[in-house]
Amino acid sequence: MPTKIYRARQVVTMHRSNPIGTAVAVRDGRILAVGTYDECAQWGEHTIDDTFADKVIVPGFVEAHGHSMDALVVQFPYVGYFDYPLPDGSVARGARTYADVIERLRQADAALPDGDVLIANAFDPIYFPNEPRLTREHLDLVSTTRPIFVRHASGHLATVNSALLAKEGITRDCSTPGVARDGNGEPNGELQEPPAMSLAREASRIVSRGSFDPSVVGVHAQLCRNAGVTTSSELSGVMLLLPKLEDAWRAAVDAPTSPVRMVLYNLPSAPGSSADHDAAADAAVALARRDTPKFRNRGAKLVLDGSIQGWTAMLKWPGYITGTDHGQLLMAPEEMVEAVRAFHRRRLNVHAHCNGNATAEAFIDAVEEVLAADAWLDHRHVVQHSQTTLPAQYRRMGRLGLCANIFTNHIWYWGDQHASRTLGPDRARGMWACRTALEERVPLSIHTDSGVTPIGSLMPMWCAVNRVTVSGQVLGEHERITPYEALHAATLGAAFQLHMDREIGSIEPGKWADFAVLDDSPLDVDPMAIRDIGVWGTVVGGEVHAAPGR
Amino acid sequence: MIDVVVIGGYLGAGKTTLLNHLLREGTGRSTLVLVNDFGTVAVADELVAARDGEMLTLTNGCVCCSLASPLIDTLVGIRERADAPELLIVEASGVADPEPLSHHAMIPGFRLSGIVVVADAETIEARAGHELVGRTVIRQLRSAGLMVLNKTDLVGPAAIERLHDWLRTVAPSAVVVDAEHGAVPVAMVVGPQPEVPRPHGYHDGHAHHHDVHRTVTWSPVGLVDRAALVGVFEDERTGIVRAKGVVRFADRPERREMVQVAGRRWHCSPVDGDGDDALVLIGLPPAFDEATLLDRLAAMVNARE
Ligand SMILES: [Zn+2]
Repeated sequence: MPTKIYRARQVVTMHRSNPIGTAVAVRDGRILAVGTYDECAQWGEHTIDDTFADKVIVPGFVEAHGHSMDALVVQFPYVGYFDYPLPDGSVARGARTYADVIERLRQADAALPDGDVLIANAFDPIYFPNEPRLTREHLDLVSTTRPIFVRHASGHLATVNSALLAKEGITRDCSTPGVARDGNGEPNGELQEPPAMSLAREASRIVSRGSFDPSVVGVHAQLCRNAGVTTSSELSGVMLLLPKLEDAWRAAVDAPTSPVRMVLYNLPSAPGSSADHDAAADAAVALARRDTPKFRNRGAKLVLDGSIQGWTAMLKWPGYITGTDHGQLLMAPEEMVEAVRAFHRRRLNVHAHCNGNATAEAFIDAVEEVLAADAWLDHRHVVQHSQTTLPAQYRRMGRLGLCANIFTNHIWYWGDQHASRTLGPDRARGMWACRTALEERVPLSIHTDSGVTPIGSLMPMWCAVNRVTVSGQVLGEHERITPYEALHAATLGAAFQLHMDREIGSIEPGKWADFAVLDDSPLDVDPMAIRDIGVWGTVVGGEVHAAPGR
Repeated sequence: MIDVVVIGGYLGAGKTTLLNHLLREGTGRSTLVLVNDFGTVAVADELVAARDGEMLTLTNGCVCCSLASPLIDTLVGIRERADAPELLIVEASGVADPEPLSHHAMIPGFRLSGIVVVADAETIEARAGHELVGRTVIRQLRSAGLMVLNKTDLVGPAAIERLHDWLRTVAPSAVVVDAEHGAVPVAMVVGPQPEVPRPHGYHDGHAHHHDVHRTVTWSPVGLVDRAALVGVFEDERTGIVRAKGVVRFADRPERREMVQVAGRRWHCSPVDGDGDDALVLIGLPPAFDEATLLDRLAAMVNARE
């Protein structure tokens, strides 16, 4: 492959010894040289590409905790509270009032063939504290004949209309727990938790069928391209649970038209259930042997607790400031040790979902115990989400070599709710403690949990740098980090946690030519403007992928 | 309709030992067991297809960010099988809360027979006080109808007595039965079978050395006062451990209801078809006195019009 030199307004490399350039040379999908044009030209014959002459090239963003199910925003009408970007570059507008929700559903109803059930996604009641619960009466305003199923953002609830209740035979005599009732004992349309949600048989079937279909990968890849992400991840990988899907997933990711590398961290068992972890780890080793440059399966994901805003994350004393504490470990501490040991021994790193600090503590304990007997010091096991991890825990993590991948997008999306309703203002200021993590030498990344919030690293960077909530308050000014530190966390820091930092994460000779092409440098703009920086598109392994309209 | 028994209890309490005991003794019904303690390389359709003998692996809970509930998918698969079992035993994972798990068994096609929680007599108190898992353990104990206090051979009689007192305060709805190596009468775990009428006071014969449980069948002719019957189930002085049967309640005379009792927890669900009303009760003497119980039950029946 011939050499191509991209000239740019600036190249931000995240490579300490060679931090800034104005040109980057690419050969065979890899970075050949970076610096000035003249420096790059010394490699001999080349062509010049000035497409990015007025752009800023940064290392391609690396999303170390994503989910490809964000593709659902395309499959089903969106009734979430915030705007959500779509693959074609347009935006699904947030539904800010019940009237918006109903209007959105009316449009979807008009566009759907008669008889089909209308399924909408991402309604979040936490943003409507002053409204009554959404019930069938609201949805009956949309249609009294077509069944309607509105799935809530938490995934634990759905609200359905009277037509759906009638069609599925959900009546006052239904004995399944979770069928919410009105004052007269009639179902009010809210179906709580999977057993009750499953009573809406047709909608459940459709939703469940869509979850792990390889077709979601293609949509996710487009969302990544539009957001500058060149390596994304599926942190609920099902290659161990549903190995039949492996070939289809690999083919979907490896397709030349698919503009993103995908790293899967696979579940050894569904959350809340146990497994023979040695057998799962053996299967994971075999799976990793079939990796390609774009499709990676290099470790395991453990889901150890629930969510904070669902009051299901496991917190140390004094717990939640309002609501009922439903915190629970999804894996016994004894079993955590066995799970970590099995993967650690095979030199595969473990990413553990720990929203609550009691959960993080159990995981840190498990890693410490495993390390005492098996000194793989470069394990890079990751505390995922790490939303409430305490300073003393970061100190231990730093000494044990544990990483933190912090869900900073929560600061803006739910920061106000955390301050008022989950942890209270004092402890909320210490959530997402990026500064503490860095001070304690904990390798840091930041993420979107795409599907929960939109994919794209500029937003988690903006959150980590500014710590501003929807209401405009600065929540935890002492935990702010610099734009450089945030960009590092979103590129090299994330690559490190995926054990891919020798291949990606910085613009450095020998690494893949994976770039995010931006209108401005996140290191130069007003920090409050970081999230508004335009994304031209990406380069992945030397292939150029423009966002729609670019 | 598939009866579902949920077996819960913390890691190492002896759930699998109990399960093996049940399968060795036989349940007398076509039985499928869902185990999630080795659910490595398969879920849902894979598992149902790969059904081998009578064991399936299952998964519970919900993927943090996914839409699918693997357990529901598994249950729907079982419901749709041509050879659906009469009894489904779900062995929960060591940290599962059996209460919400049991709700999965209350979808159409299934009815909850009872929640059985196994506790390790040696370690249960320490576990319940543990900083990280204590609340999980307490929740498990509270969810129990029948509690199997296992490994009683490893602690002294005084300690067992103290444990019973403690469990009465921690888990007031549970009836606690002592066991070694998970050996308890099968009918206590999976419930009696009212479909097969038995003579008054019939003893089902699965006798173990401490096993003194008694079984009695009550055949109400008429409509039963629901509150009064529930009062019996919730009254610990009756010594009832387990009950199952079909009755007609005075407040819903148009339908028959299946009543299933485990410890002091009970569930009713409507049943189709006609037949004789009968409730089979299993209890532990001396509290469980057949004559006194039958008198009390007889008093709550209104002669049918
Ligand atoms: Zn996630």
